[in-house]
Amino acid sequence: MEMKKNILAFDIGGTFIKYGIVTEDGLVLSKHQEKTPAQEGGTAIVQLLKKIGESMITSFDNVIGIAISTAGQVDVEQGVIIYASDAIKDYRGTELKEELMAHFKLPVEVENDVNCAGLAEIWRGDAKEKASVFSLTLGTGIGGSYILNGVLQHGANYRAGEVGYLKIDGQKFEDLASPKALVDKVSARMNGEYLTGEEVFARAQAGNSICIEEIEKMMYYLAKGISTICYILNPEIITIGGGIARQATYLMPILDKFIRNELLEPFYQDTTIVFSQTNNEAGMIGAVYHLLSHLSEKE
Amino acid sequence: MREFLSFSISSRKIIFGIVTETGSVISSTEIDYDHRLEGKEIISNIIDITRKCNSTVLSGITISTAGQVDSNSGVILYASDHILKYTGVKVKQLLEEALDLPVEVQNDVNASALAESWIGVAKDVQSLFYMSIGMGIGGSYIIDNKLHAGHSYSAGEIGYLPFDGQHLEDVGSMQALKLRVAARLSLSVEDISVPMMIEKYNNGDAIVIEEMDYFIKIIGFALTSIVYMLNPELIVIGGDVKHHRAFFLPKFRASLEQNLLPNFQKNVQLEIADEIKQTRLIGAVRNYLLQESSLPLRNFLSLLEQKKPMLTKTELLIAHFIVNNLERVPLMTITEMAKQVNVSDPTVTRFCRKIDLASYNELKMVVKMAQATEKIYERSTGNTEIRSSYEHTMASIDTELKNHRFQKIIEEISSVRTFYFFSDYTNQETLLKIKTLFLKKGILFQSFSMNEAIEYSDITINAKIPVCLFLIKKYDTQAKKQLNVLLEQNPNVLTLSETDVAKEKDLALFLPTTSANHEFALYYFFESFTEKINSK
Repeated sequence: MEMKKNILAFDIGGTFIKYGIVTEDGLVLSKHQEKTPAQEGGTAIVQLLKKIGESMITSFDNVIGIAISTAGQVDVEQGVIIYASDAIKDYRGTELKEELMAHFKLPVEVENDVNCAGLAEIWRGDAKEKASVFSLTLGTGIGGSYILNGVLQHGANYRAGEVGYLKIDGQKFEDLASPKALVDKVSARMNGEYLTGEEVFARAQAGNSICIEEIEKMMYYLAKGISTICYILNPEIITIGGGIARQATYLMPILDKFIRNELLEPFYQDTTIVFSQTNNEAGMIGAVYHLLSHLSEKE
Repeated sequence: MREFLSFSISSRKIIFGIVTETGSVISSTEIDYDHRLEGKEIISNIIDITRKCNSTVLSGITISTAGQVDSNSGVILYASDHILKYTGVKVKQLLEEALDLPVEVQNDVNASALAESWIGVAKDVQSLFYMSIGMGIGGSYIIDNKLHAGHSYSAGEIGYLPFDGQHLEDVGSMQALKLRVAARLSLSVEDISVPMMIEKYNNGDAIVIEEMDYFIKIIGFALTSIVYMLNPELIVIGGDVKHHRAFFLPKFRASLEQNLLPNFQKNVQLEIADEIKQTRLIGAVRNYLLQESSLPLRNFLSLLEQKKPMLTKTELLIAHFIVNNLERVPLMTITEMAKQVNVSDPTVTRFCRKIDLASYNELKMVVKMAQATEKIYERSTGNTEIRSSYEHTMASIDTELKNHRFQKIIEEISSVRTFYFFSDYTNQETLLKIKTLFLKKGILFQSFSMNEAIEYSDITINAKIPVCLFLIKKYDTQAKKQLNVLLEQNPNVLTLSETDVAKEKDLALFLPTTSANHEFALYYFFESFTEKINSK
C-alpha cells in the first residue's frame, strides 16, 4: 500500500502559532505551538514559519505541501494578507505563499482562519456532507464563513461572512455576543477583578449570579445573530466554534431557549445548530482541506 | 423558438401572458378579482385560461406566485392568508395532470430576482442580492445565475430580521411607511401613494420627511446586514420603489454608507431594479429554463464520456470506480469512497464539480438514477423527450414517497413481512424484478391479476397484510367492486392509479406514468419503496 501523504499545517493567530503534521485523511499526527512574534510583524512570522518548517519536514516523511490558516483577510489566489487588525504588526501585505513556496519548493495555500474553521466542519465535523453550512467562530470578535455545496462563498472581495459587524439592537453583534465581550462585561461588574472565560463559566456553574446573568445576555444576543443568519441564508446547519464550544453542555439549553423564542417555527425546525467538536485543531484541519482541494484541481 | 404561458399569482390578481424562451413578453393580460383568491380557484383559473389558449404551440406553463414554494416539486410550502387555502397545494402536479404540459413554479420575489439577473440590471453579475419592498420585505440571493433557495426554500427572508424587538418588515415595508404617514396625516391608507409621499417630501412636509427618513434608515440597516453577511457584487432593490429611482437610490446609498464600516464601502454596488414590464412573468420562464437544465442527468455514463477529456488521472480512477460500483456508490459516504479509490475527500468533491454536480450527495443521487434506469432500459435512448419523461416520473415519485401515508404501510410491511400486489398489469419480467426487490428484503411478495384476485380474495386477503393496487386499464365496475372488498377488510391499502374510491378515501398515490413508461415508473417506485423497509 502506498504511503500516506502528510501535510505541514500552520494556524497563525494573534497570540499563538499552532502547527503540526496532518495526514491527507485529516488526522493530526503531531501538534505544537509557539508564541506569535506579533510585535515584530509579518517578516518575523515568515522567518519563524521557515525555521519550524525545516525541522518538521526533516522529522516527518512524505510531506507534500504546506497549509496555512491565518488571522486577517487573505487574497486566496495570491496567498497574501490583504488586511489585518493591529493584533499582528505590519502583517498586511505579507506574501506567505510566495515566501514559503520559494523556500521549501512545496505547494503552499493560505486561507483565512474563520474560513478554515468552516472547512474543518464540513470535512471532519458535524457539517459533514451537509449542503449548506454557516460556521461561526467566537473569540475576540465573531467571524463567520458560509460553505455551499463544499465551496466557500468569499463574496465579491473576500469579505462575506463578516457577521461580527451586524447591528443588533443598535450595537455591533460582536460587542454583544463574543466571549471577549462577556469577559469584559463580567469583569466590569466584579470590582476590578478580571476573569478569564474559563473562570466566568466555572463561577456561573458555582452559582455566581453576575456570571449567570451575563452568559444569559450573551446567549440572548447570539440567538439574535443566529436568527439573522437563518433568515438570510436558511442553511442546513450552523456550527459555533472557538474556545467557548467547550462549554456546549452548559450553553446549549440557554441558547436553544432564546433561538426558539426568536426564530419563526419553520426556520427553527429547519436549521440544525451545534457547538463545534473540532476544537482548536479546526484551523489546521481546514487549511489542509483547502490545500488538498487546490492540489486536486491542479493535478 | 419555444413559447410559454406564464402566470403571476397574487392575492387578488392573476397576470398571464405568452413569453418566449429568450424572455420577450409577446402578450399579457391582467385579471383583477374583488376577493382574495383561494388555492383551488387559482388552479381552476389557470386551467381555464390555458385551455382557452392555443395550447398546441405552448412548451410549458411557468408560474410565479406569492407564498413559499418548493420549486422542485412545485408545492406551496406556506402561504399567508392573503391567498386562502393555498398552503400545501401541489400546483405543479395538479396542473400537469390536468393540462398535460410541463409546469414549473417559483416564488414571486425569486422570480423577479431571476428576471433581473437574466435580462435586467444585474445581467452579468456573479452574485446578486435582490430586495423587494412592498407589502412586506422580501429578498432573494443569486449566485452564478442560480437561485440560492436555502435548505428549506426560505433563504433571503430579510423581512423577518430582528429589528427593535419586531420583524424588519413590520416597520420597514412600504406598507408600514404608508400606514404611519396615513395615521399622522389623518388620512386613509388607500389615499397614500408613493408618488404622493415623494411630492410632499420634496415640498417640505415635515411629517412625511420624518417618516420617509426613518424608512430609509431602516432599509439602510437591512442593506448593511446583507453586505456584512454576503458581500454580494450587487444589491438590487425592487418593488414599490422601482419607478422612483431618482428619488430613492441616492437616499438608500447614503443610508448604507452611513452604517457601513469604511473598509466595506468601496466595493458595494447598489441599484434600483430596471423598469422591465412583467418581471415576474419573465422570471417564471427563467425559473423553468433553470429547472430544466438542472434536471439530473440520468445517463450518467454519457455524462462521464463527455467530460472525460477534462479529467485528471486520479479523477478517471474515481469515474472508473463509480461506473463499476453503481449499486454501492449511493450507499457510501464521501470518505468511504475516497478510501476505496485511495484519494482524499476533496479530490472526490473536486471530481463532482468537474462533472457539473454540486456536491457528492448529488453525485449519489445521479448514480442512483442511472442505476435504476440501467436495469430495465437500454443505456441510451438518445431521445430527450423520453428521457425527460423519466426524469419527471422519478422526481414525482421521490416527492410522493416523502408522504407520511407511506410510513405506516412501510412499518406494517416491515413487521408482517408479506405484501400483496393486485393489478391488471401482466408484464411478468417486470413483476419478477419487483418481486426480487421484496425478496432481497426478506419480504414475501405475492402478485394477483384482477380476476384471480376477486375469485380468491376471501381466502387470500388477510386484514393485516398490506395490499397494493395498480390498474392500467380504464376503471371498470369489477375493479371497483374488488377495491371495495379490499377496503372493507384491510386498512393498509395503497393504490397507485386513479380510482374514484381511492380518491374519496385519500388512499391514492398517482404513479405519474405515461403508457410508454409505466414499467419504469413501477420499478422505480418499488425500488425506492423497498429501500425504506427494514430487512430482518
